[in-house]
Amino acid sequence: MIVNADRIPPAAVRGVARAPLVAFAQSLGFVAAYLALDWVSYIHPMQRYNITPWNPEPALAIALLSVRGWRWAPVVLVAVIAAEWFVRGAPAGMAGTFVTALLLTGGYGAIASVLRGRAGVSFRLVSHRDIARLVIVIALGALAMAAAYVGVLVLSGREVLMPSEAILRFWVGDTAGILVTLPLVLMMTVRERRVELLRLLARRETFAHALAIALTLALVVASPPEQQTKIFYVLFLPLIAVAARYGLGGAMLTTLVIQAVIIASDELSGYQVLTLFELEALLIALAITALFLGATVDELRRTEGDLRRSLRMAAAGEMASALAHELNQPLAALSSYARAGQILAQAPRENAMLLDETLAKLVGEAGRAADVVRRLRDFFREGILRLEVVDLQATLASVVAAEEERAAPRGITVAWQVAEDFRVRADQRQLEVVLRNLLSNAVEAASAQRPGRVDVEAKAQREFVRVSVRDSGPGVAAEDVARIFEPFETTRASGMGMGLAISRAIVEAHGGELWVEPGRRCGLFCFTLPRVPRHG
Amino acid sequence: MDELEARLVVHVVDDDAAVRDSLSLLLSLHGYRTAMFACAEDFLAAWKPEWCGCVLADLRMPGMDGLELQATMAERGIDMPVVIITAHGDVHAARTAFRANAVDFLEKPFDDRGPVAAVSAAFERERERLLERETRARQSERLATLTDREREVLALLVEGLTNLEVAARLGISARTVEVHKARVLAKMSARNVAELIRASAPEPRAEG
Repeated sequence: MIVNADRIPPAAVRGVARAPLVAFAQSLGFVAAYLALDWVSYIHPMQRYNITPWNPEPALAIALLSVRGWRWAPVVLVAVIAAEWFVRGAPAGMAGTFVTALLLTGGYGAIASVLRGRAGVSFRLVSHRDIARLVIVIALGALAMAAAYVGVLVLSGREVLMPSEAILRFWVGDTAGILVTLPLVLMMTVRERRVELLRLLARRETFAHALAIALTLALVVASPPEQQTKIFYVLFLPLIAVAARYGLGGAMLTTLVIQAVIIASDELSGYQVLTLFELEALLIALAITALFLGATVDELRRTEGDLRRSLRMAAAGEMASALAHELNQPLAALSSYARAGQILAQAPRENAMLLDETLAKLVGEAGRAADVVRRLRDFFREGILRLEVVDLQATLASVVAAEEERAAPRGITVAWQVAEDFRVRADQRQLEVVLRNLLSNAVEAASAQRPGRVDVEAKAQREFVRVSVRDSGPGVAAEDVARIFEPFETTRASGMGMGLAISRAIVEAHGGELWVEPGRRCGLFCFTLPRVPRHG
Repeated sequence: MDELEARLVVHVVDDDAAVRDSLSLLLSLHGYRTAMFACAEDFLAAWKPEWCGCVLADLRMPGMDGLELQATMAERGIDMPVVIITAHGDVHAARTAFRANAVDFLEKPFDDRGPVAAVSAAFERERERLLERETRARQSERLATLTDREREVLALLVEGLTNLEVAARLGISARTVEVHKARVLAKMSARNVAELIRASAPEPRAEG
């Protein structure tokens, strides 16, 4: 087969030519990062075992093998050997170093393949299931590796001192290191999560949170070593605040910072190894809290988003169906006029005047149908919900003015009052639909007995604005409260054909509520919308 | 019959002016007389007992809707046939309306059969109703001519008693019963007791 070289996109040619180069560069980068992390964390090695209280570098290896697979195991092996050699001074000699390096690489690879395969953990870390499996795999994997590592050293007859203590320290150090670092590294491999983390760092609010974390950390670090484990719990406070605000990304970032500062301060002041191990054990608790709390917050937020989206869809559906219903009016008139026209046309001369009149009315109805379609198109034009900061007072004024034209001839007074100059976050057009609908219902109800009255009022209610529409009509009986919100409920359908169901769906899509206060003396409909604080 | 025909009017109750106007035009071109009402309340306020024909009411109206109008009419004994106009074949509304004896459902936009067929069916029913009402009126006029004793005899005969039993019950002779019975049959223009029973049966009630 002859391939025209011109046809191949230049990027592809370069890509093929560059692939090994890129892979080589990436391998070098990985080895350098692994070495750097190992060097930073090579503190307080347990005598002769070379076990340290904090090991974040396995997280890098596990992440690489999780994303790229076993093919990259040789690179990890090189990194581990290099670390043993340059950072730890190869205490086990040439052969021993190679054996332990093989063992560690195999362990990392095994953890990675369990995460990818049997455990099926999504690197986006979106569910409790992902988090639980990640924690279990890390804890068990680290334990197995600790036992194997110490076991090899003991079996080779080199070390026989306190093997169980060695296993425990290896386990705690690796678990603390991996648990804090791996979730972050895994999340960084997913674009969506990466963007989320970067955005988080760019927010102004983040500084306030960082300050709070720094102050609490200072409190812990500045206290005497024997006190540190006792007041460690204080660190949970900023962590919980961050997790609640930013979800998993923020929580894990905070845990990493806390861990790094504690290690660094320990390094600078040279504390007891034992204190550091205790602190690491506490850090594991902190990391697990951060993981689950962060995932819960993420999940909650996602569910909320889904709910809002489906409410928006419901609002759109209701709107479409209400407008489609409305189309039937002009269409019914159209068909009757057309049939009448047919009859009249049988004797066009005698009926000339009436025929002409009927055809004119027919055209008028066609225009009316077109109007409904236009309204439907307007509704869908800007997506489903276009949130903006809306001046409630101005909107209310314009809707009331329009409604007054209908109300005045029926002897109904419409009054409105706004407690302060509110701004709400809403879709202007849909807010108008809700107000118009409630007002026209109220006018309809108030016209039951004269003189009628409709009062519209807006008040602050915590972070919401509460708008209430009160009419002097007969009110809604308690047993009818649920019924009137059903779509196509006919009891008091407005001429517009837009029921309360659609208004409620719209308000709920905005994050507010719409309800009716049952009563015999007057009708009272209320809804809330999130308020926007005024700036300057 | 022609006199009755002239009294039949289609009462269109719809809040939409164009629908009202077009319906009335179309029906008048088919030779029907129409009256228009913008809402159910207007119709009920204007109603007079001598009105007959049918009611064409929209299901969805501000204030009282079509089904409520139908229910109120039944309450007040306005038994003109009702045709409900609906824009969506709402099963629930249809069930309610038919249970309340609606003649027909007219779906918006109107189908091929259209409002004319619905109105013609409604008028058919109205004619039957008016005829029956007339017969009934004649019957009650005849009943009014009976004496008290004759009415007693009639009541017992209708219950299914024999002449002898009637005589025993009223404490009169069988012969006297015979005489009363003959007079009752003559006044009610019935040939036998079976016809009497049919004529004096209680008025059938519309039930759901």
